Amino acid sequence: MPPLFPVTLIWYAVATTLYLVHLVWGTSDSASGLPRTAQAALVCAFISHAIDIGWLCTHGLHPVVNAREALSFASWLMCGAYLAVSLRYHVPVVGALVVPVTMVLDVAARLTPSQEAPHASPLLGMVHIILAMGGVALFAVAAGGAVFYLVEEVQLKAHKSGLLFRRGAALETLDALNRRCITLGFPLFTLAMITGALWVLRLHSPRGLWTPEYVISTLAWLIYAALVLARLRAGWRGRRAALMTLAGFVTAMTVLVLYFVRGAVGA
Amino acid sequence: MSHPRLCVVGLSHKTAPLTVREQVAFNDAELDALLKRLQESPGVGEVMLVSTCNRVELYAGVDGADAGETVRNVLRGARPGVDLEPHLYVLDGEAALRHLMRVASSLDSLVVGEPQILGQVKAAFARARQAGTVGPLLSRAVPRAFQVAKRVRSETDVAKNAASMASVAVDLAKQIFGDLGRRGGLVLGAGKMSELSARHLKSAGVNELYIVNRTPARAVELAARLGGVAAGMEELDRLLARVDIVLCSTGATEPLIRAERVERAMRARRGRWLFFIDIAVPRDVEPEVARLENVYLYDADALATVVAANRAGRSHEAAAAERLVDEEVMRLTSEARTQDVVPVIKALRQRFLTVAEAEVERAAGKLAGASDRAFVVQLVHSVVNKLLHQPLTALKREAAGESDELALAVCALFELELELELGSSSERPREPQPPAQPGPAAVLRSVKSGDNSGER
Repeated sequence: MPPLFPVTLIWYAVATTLYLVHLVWGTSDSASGLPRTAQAALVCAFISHAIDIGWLCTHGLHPVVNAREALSFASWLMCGAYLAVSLRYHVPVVGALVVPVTMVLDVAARLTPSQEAPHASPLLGMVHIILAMGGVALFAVAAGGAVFYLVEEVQLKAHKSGLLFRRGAALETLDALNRRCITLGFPLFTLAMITGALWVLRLHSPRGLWTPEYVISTLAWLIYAALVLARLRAGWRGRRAALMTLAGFVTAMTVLVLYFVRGAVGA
Repeated sequence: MSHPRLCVVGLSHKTAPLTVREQVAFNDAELDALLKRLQESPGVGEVMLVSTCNRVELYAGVDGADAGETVRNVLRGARPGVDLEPHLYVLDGEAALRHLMRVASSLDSLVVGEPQILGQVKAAFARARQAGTVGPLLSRAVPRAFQVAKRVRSETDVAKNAASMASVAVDLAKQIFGDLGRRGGLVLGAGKMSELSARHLKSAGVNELYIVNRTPARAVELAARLGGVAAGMEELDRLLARVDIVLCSTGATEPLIRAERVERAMRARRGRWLFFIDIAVPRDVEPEVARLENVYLYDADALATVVAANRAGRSHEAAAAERLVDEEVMRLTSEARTQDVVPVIKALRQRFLTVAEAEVERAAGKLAGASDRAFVVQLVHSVVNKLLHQPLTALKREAAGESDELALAVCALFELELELELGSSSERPREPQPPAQPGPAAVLRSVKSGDNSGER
């Protein structure tokens, strides 16, 4: 157990609480007050989590050594991705979804039994996992924004002010956040697909690339590729983009769950 | 003969949906004709018609039990094709007065505290005066409603928190676009509401504002005042492809913006979001427009649902404002009741003076000259006034306190021959009904004649 895990958990819990309080009782001023405090708590959690990851590395447990560390690393990247996009887009409501998920993933990682990952090509595998995690972290933030976009769109169409009214999450901002996250996440995910293919081929597995993980990953990549193309060429935005983002994210998460389950049970 | 009383017949956003209200909205020519027709109706002495997006109300000074029904029939007759019956309300006497004050103070508005309604009631009053349909009752009640409206605005926070229809629309626009700084707005219509709405958009940061109106000169005038750009109706398609927020408030009887037109605009916009705020009644934007992707349409009723959801926060201020209205209603009602005993006071004073002057006449021979006589007349007048001062003050106080007993006793004691209508009326049932108890005037006549039947 890393030394700062309890501290990290407390900071995540504080940030989660503040984001949720803002979601339920907050005001339109997303740049001040509650959201700002929540963001400060999240920065503390991020730093504390980073120190933990660094401490584990010094003890030979680098982020891709097993499923547990990979999961913890993924939650840290997700937190970082959200903080990064928060610099440009003030969407604290998205934090109310992303930050609790981050916290749950980190706790789940600490509760997972340790298993060693394959070591046929450690460097390539490490690069692949880090790229994939980075891509998925950005897709997760995009998916959080997409969920709120769809909820808010339904409310606006139905003329209901609802929970999100005056919470500082404009439809266009959520869509812009989605576009930015996908635009940044897609190249990372593409590189992860390439490095993943190389890694699998070097392992000389009899099934080659015809593993469920790689097939589903390819499907996720195709969905995101179609989304990027549709945004660029056909001017897709709003509801369609949000739905496609969610479809891509569910597919990508399926791959992660498969890896995680396989890693956890030592398959 | 009974006293005229205030009566309200109408419908509002609280009783009628937009689909009904847009069929009842009256244009200027219809308003004048309706005012004249009402004034000529039996039992209706004076009348004022308030017709806005959210209400059509007739305020009438009526006389007799059936007069309210007459007003109601005239209103129904003005729109024979529309079934108004389920949406109409009738208020009478004190309830009508309270309603007038609540309406003028914006406490009955779709958006509580919005400032436009006071101007609209003032305009309605001015129109009625111009048409010669204002009598003493409305002359007394309506300016008092304006006074209480001013008090509500200055002494409570209702107005501070007030979000007009336009400002709620601006909040919704921010919910769609976020920062409005780089947005374009289009205002369709150059009337008062359009100007107010356009000002809201401008103050919210919209940097490009186009004004389109059927009468180009008015569009140019409004654009000059707001720092916008006037454009003709033929440019509507081009502008729909360019701007992000479209605010409609014209007096057109048919929708100006249909779904096909918006579909074309959305193709040109490559799906960029478009927000329509249609506060016109009848509506300017076809309801089917709301089904288009990335298009949001809020008409007056849709805005009302958002407003209602945000109204809870203002209930405290609204309660303070309601208290002011109550105070003013009580004061005015009390004054009206005091007015009711003025004939008793006059008759009593006259009776005393007649007796005193008769006595002076009898003693005229004993007086030295005309100057002595004038002095004695002045003296007896002074004595009568001093003797009556306390009883008359008590009489007024009793009348203001809703009691007729003293006035009745005075009439009975001094055998004053008067036809009086004392007391007050309250909210009346929809269907005219015979009074459950004999009215004070009937009681008064009974005292005088010794008849206990109480029939009028």
